[in-house]
Amino acid sequence: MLKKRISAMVTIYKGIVVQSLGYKNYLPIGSPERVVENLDRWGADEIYIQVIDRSINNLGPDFSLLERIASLGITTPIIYGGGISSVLDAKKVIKNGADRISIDGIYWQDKEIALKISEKLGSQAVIINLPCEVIDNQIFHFNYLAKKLTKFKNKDYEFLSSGLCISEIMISDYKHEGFPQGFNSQLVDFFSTTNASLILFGGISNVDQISSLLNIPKVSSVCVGNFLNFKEHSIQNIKKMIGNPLLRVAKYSKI
Amino acid sequence: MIGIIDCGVGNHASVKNFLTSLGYRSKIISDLLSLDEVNIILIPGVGAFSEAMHSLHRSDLLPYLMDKILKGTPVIGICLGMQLLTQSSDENGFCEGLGLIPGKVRSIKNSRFHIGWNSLNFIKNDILINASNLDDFYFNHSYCYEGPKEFQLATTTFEEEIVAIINKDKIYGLQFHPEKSQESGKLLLKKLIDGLVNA
Repeated sequence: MLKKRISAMVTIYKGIVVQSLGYKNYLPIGSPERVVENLDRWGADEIYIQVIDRSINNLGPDFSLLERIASLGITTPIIYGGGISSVLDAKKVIKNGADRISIDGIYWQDKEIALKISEKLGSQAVIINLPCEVIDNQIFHFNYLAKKLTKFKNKDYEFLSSGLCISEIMISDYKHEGFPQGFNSQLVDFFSTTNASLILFGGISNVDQISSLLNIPKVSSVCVGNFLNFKEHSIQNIKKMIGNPLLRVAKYSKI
Repeated sequence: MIGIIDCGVGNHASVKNFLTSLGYRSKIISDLLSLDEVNIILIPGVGAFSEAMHSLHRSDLLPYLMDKILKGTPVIGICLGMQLLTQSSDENGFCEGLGLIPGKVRSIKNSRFHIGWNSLNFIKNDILINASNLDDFYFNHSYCYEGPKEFQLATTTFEEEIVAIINKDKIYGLQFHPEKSQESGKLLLKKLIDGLVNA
């Protein structure tokens, strides 16, 4: 039976892990290596590394960070997003230690490049991150680079539904990111007809909320950010409290 | 020494560091000379089938690699690496594989992607690879193996029954990623490598 996932979001800004509040304010958490190491040890189902200052500063992907993380022998699947703008970038990100990539800006700027990336890596390795907001019962995409909101069009849904390019959609409630229990579950309704399964992120903090979001059939993963860093073994504890057989229990060697 | 084959696409760094953490020596192979001292071949994979096969053909590595395998060097294929062991794939059009295990690769029916953690159902007992039926492993693929039952060791249940492990002689293919399956992956891959080295 395929399990639902509780993934961990690691947001990196200026080389350190930060607590991001609404894509606007950032509080320091610590070294990426230590945070990723902890999440791996705690049995996260996936670790989603998002480096938020690479695209905006035209720095390309942070290959050095990926190399340092890979050298730790991390055994949890790594998703990387930040600064990917070409097929070469995408291939090198995988070669340096990521298992999947997350794209955002390039998807809106040049769908041809997004399609080529998918052709080379296989679309199972490609996720699209969609920072979104609901205003007056309509959904808008937040362009992080241009700091601009654009209303979703039918052709956007059609393309996302085609399965040509991506395997999963991450819906990021960017406005509520970093705020306890802030995730607006109305966002999910707008993607109920797309073929891709959904990863939810942004303001997801509490056990009941995680449990109820994981019960939505289309949702394959709930991605939790810095709420995981406040307690030792947070992921194991959350899974234990939810007690859903659809969640994997991490295995540990007998001491 | 474990030789990690460079197919142009693949998560080599993850695989190499994983093997180091298990206590094995390994190196990434991209030329003929570096294959000489290898006693296990590992073909990793994240990527598209045709892209990986074209890359192997371009590297001139293929004839020497095939010769080494046919002379009995054990092989472990992971995910795309497992699929490359078969005769062909339909991914992005027909493409011939290494043909080491009879069968072909086709897209998964109904739902296109099998992504996440899933458990194994063992069809046969295999002393080198038996893991607990309760253990979960990380899968990430949209194409799967279709071939004779005699080469299938384990399956996993999704929208359809998906073949998770294939085997012929000293050649093993794992559709999941042991290097990304935490403790379950470590136990399984260590047992398999140790078994193949001592077989």
